[in-house]
Amino acid sequence: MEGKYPVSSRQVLALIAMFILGTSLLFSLGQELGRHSWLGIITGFIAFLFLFWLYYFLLKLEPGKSLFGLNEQAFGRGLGTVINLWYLIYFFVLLSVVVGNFVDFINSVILIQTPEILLTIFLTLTAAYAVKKGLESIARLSEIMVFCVFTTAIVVTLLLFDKIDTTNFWPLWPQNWALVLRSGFSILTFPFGETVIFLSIFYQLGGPQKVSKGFFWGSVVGVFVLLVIALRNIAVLGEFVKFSTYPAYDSVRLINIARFITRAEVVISLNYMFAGYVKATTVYYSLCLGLKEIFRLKTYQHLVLPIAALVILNAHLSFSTNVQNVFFAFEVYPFFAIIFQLILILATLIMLLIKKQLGRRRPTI
Amino acid sequence: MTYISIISIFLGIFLIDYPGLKKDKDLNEKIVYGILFSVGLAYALLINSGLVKNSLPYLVLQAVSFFRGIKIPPAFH
Repeated sequence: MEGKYPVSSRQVLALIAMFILGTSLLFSLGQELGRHSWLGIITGFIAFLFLFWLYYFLLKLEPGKSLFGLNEQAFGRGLGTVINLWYLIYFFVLLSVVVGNFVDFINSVILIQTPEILLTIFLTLTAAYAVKKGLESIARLSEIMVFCVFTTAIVVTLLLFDKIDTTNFWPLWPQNWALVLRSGFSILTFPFGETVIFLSIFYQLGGPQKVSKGFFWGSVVGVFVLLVIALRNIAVLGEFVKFSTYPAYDSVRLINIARFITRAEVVISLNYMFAGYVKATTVYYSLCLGLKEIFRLKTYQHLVLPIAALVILNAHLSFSTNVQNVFFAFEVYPFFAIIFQLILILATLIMLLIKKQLGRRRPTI
Repeated sequence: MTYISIISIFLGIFLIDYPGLKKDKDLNEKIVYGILFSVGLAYALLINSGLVKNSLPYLVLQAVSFFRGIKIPPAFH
């Protein structure tokens, strides 16, 4: 189940798109910008193009190596392992937060009476099952689900057509551009920059050309759906998007076609869960692969369940209130994540280039 | 009762993994498994006894807030 996977370029696209949509479907990206959140998304995506170029360059430089292998090659065995362990901590925190967010969502809008710990256990165990089955099954699931998420986003927007008020967009340009840039930075790190975890998977999927094509178009599909959802939320809810915990959910609740088509939020919730599931599973898989590589193991299969136990405990304890969650997402996470998404990647790239140059200059006897 | 449930869950995990681990000749794998398993079990027991209240994401929150010089709002406690 581990090794090279027959995953197509389209499946890579679906995997990336679902990963980007993951938790971002739940929260309104750039919420602090209110009616200008779409500008934040565009700013974040433009900044991500630089990150994409960086990741692509790294993939092209050493095609057969994972992120962990690259770190060891760039910094040597000792420092490389330390950096890899930091990456594992990042993956673990990300996984716990993703699981925690989804459990919070399910517990506050769908299964209100169900104990949170039970939801955490079931979500994590289903993710563990997918991880045991391997990347191929996750990619296949994403291929089906990305189509559902994409279609639902468009159909729901069309169903909300009578609730759309275009004056909600005015004034079109914000007065505080610094806030747009700050929000763009947040959006760069969540969700676009989180695609750094794919650097630990891509080497299994084929050459950089094939993978980067899926990577790029997957990001484009992701940002397109995010923009459609953001614009729809603004058009329907106006400035209220700033104050809603789950704006997409709140806007979809307003669908009422001749008192016949109502309660469409159930469909949306299912979409959220599928996207979140794919994201959690992908991060979980990378975490297992990382442990396997760092400790030079033959397989990661035995590590899946003990990691699940740790994730359940951390996700359950992570944040007690939604305020805390929002504080983490906007004030803490970007500054923590940028170290792994940009700074360390840049350092690895520079070290590899220096090593390559020195290797070329060394005279051969 | 909660302690018994925690121990039974971890026992369940071990019983699921045991056949695979027994077949495996790699000592490294057993060591990593052992470490992860005991950390998980100890963490669960410590949380239940009230000695540990923090998660890794919360520690990250505290560390980054400290380095950025921002206060964690009192509503968090």
